[in-house]
Amino acid sequence: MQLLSPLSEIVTELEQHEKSARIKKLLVCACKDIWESDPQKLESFPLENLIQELWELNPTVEKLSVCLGRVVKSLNKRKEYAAIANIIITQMGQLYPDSQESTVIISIPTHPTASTAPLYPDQQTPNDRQPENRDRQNEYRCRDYNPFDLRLELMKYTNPMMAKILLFSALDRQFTFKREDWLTIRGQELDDLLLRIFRKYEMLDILQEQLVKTSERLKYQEESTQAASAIIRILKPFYHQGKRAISPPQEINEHPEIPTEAIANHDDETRLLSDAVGEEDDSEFTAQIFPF
Amino acid sequence: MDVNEFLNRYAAGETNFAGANLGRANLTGADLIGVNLYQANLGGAFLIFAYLNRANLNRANLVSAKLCGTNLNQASLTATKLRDADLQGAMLQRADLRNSDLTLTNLLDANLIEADLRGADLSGANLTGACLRGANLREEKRLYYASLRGTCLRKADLRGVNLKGADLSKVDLCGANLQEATLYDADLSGANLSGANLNNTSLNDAILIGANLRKANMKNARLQRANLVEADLGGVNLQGALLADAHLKQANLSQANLNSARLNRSDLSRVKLRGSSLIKAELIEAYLARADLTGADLSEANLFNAELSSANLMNAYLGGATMPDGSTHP
Repeated sequence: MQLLSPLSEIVTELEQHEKSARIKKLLVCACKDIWESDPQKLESFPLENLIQELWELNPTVEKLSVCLGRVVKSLNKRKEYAAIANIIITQMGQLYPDSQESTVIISIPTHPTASTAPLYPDQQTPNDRQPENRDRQNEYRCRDYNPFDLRLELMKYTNPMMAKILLFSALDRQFTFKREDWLTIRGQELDDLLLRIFRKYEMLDILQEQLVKTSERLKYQEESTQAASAIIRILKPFYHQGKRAISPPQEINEHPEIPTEAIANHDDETRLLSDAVGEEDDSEFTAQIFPF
Repeated sequence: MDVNEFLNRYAAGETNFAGANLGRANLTGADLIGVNLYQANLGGAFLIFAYLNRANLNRANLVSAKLCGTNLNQASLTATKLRDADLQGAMLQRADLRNSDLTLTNLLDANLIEADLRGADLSGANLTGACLRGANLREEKRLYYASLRGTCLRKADLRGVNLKGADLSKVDLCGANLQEATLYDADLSGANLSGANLNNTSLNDAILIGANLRKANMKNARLQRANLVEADLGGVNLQGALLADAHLKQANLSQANLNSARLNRSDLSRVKLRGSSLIKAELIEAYLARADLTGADLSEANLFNAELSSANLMNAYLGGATMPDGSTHP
């Protein structure tokens, strides 16, 4: 991939940083909404892709700060990870030419009083100066539904043809692998099928059940089950507590980048908090990536 | 060669089948990882969902082969004949396709991440929805130049791809992702880029004569010296874009967002800017002869030394703008 030179510099800086492992964990969590501690799995996420993705998800440095702040807030080692967030913001600040780093650095109270202690910027705009109220803390923000990023993720982890056949079978009719079905699927696009299934299922468990059931009926069962798991994995971040957390985009044909910054209010976000943790252990937080 | 014999020999550990004749063979779902089929004949063969990862298919004949969902990750396909092959949803990640003949192939929703396509002939190929992130289509020598004449790249993902100097004239890139791509010096005349994502794309010196860029997202794009004569840029988002010395003669920029865009010394003669937003845009020494700025918002724009005398400024808003003589508009 052709990287912009400031981006390459940032990647190098963060890669060589003494806290590079924690930096990566925080980036993975911010981008993929999973807490990953397995070094091998972390290795599978290229740092430059994570930075690019985070940059794309956050058009301003302020949004980047809020985004990382939310992730930090969901961890128990807040102080340590607030410092990591600041390292990322300082570096990525270079990608936002009009911003001043000093206005967005995340600070953590010296003595956090409770596990829900809010994070707030050092210098805040007048509107933000109020302590965060309960609603704001409970806010759940979903990443945007970007068909290109979804397709990229899907293609990395499964066979796009099998994903299409599975989606087609779950949505329209069982794919028979006969000539007429091959002709029909030639007129279908992966993006559209994915969006259609996302639109159809409001509950994650029902979507999952449907895909698994469909895959069991298909030829190439091993491949289709694998495709089902990949589809669930990429759509899972758009569900919160099992329920679809954003309104599905209506039309993807004319607008490649769908502005779907949707926010849904739900109960307190505690997905990464764990009570039984050791201070020195970095692998304390577990999040279920895919429930198969 | 008999298909069963071939599969049995492969299962027994033999991998070298260079030059084998397997024309129209049914190898659907076959596991042939790492097989050597150099110069083999697989014309019209059925390889749907076959595993050909890391296979050597250099110079093989795969004309009209059925390769839907075939796994060709890291396979070597240099100078391979794939004309008219069906590669829908095929996995070609990091495949070497240099100098391959991909004319009229169906690559709908194919994975071409980091594929090497230098010198490949993609004329008339369908790449709708294909993912080409990190793919190499770069020109090194003229001989090594991917041909994309008549290629369909609708909604293809070309983010960050280097297409410097590529001939993309009349190519369909409608809704494609070209974010951060390098299209420096590329020929995109008559291309369809409507609704495409061109955020941060480098288009310096590119030729975009008569291109359709309606509603494209071109935020922070770099278009220095680009030729956009008669291009349709209606409703385009060019916020913060760099258009210094660009040629925009007779282009349609109606309802465009050009806030904070830099258009210094650009040729904007006879351009349509009806209802466009040019807040804080830089138009120093821009040539706006007979430009139509009806209803445009030019507040705080810098028009120092711009040629405005024959421009139509009916209902245009100029509050705080720096006028051609250096005065500030009230």
